[in-house]
Amino acid sequence: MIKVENLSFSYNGQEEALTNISLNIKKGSWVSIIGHNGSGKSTLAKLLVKLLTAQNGSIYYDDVLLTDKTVKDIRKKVGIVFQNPDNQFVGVTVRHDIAFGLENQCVPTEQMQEKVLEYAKLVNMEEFLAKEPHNLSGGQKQRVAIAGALAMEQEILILDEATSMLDPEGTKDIVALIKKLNKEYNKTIITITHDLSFASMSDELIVLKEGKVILKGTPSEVFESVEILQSSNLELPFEVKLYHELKKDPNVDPKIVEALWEFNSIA
Amino acid sequence: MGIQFNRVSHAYKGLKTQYRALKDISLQIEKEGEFVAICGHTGSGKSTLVQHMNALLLPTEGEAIVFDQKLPPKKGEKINFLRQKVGLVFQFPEYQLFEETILKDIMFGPKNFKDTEKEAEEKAKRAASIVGIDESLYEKSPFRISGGQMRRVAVAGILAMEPAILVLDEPTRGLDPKGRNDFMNIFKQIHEEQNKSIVIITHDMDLIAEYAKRVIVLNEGKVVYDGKKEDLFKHENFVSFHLELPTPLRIIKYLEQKLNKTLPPQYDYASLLKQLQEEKHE
Repeated sequence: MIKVENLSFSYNGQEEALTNISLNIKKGSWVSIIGHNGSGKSTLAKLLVKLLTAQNGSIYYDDVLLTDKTVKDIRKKVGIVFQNPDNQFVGVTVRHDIAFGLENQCVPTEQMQEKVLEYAKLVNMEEFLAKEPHNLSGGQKQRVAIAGALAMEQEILILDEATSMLDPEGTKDIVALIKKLNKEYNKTIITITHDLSFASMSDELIVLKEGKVILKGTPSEVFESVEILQSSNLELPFEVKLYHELKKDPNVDPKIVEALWEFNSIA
Repeated sequence: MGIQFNRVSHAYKGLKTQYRALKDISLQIEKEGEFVAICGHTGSGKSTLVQHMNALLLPTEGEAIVFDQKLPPKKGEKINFLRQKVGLVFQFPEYQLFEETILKDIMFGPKNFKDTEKEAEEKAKRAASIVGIDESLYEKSPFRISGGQMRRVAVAGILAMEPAILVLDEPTRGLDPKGRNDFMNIFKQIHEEQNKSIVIITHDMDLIAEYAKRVIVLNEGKVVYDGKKEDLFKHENFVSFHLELPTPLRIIKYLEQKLNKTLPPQYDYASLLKQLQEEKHE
């Protein structure tokens, strides 16, 4: 369980990037933090792993306060994958790249090789272990980056805009992988995104606007607040927007509204 | 004629291997009035194809004719002018910004084509206003603005050369929905007001449905479809193109099944909404 209390942060005394953020993230859940560009979502992710330090407020992991003293232990629990995988490759081959974190932890070679293979398999990249990361497609790169984080075997995984650089096929792969990690491996997943179609698949949404939490709830609860989302520069998925628009029009054939609701629930 | 490809192939050559990225491509793009989307899998040859349009890559077999210039050119022929005629915006063009100020960065292109400082500045300012870069930003560093604005500056840098045809390689990738719509509307406006041909690579079928008139589908370096967008989505081999239907058409298909009647196809949100609102009053 992650608990954030009254967190505020500003970069070098500029305007506050985050103001008074409080939230809870349950163990084993998939939570999406959504917001427009510049809403503070990536800042929040960096604060969660103490790449940045808040001026005010506190973050607890299972009731342990995140401080300079506890950060080392807490990072053993939390992994983060950033937006552009190109910027985070360190290995010459996929194998080396996935092994990087393990090497830093001085894991014995044999064990390391096992783990690299295990996680390469999990993300469906075992055929590519000998390849250079730069020759892979966007989706493949993203999966290698995720495997590198997974190899650390942390309970919580934060993915910052993991799909924004990907084509639809790459996005599908990542979504399937996230679901698997969440359901079968019981990882707590935090995704940061502006893509509401992607976010709609998570258990809970936290909506940020100009550094403040303006909505929280399940996707269907949050999607009810059409006006608030739109005023936050977020666009509802096409089919959800259409459903809400038709629902409020009394002249529309109710069968159409019903069919659209079904369409959304199977999509 | 703007761009014509006659049986163009392109092979990337390694030391001992070669990879044929384009195979026997014939197509033409008029210099006015076209809005063409190019789609296809990762690795299908889309980016290779568009780089032939301004001679950044040359055919290794076959011939391309771009604004009356035959490609590959004869020895000694200069083909630089094609880079101005066909403005090519790469993927993530904001990575290529380099100047000290935003205005200087946008002026770089026209200055390269021998415009005077004054002409270049005028063109740059016009381009900046088209993409919505405010005057107050001219003297700022292009590295101190948001990612979305950086992309606007990069696109303005191409527009400032006043190309006859604008070619964009995944211009909306990585943008949020608002940014995506803003950019598409900029391209639509250029297309409608100046009647310029726009060629755009995208994976986003919803964007294709809403904006494109014509679609070229590539698969493993070959053109597997080239025609009207409306015909693409009802093509009998659509499944073999490995593309998804755009959202409005998926919704219509579902409604047709559920309501047991046929509905006319719609390609964007506003027309589908209107259609469904009026459905009852027949």
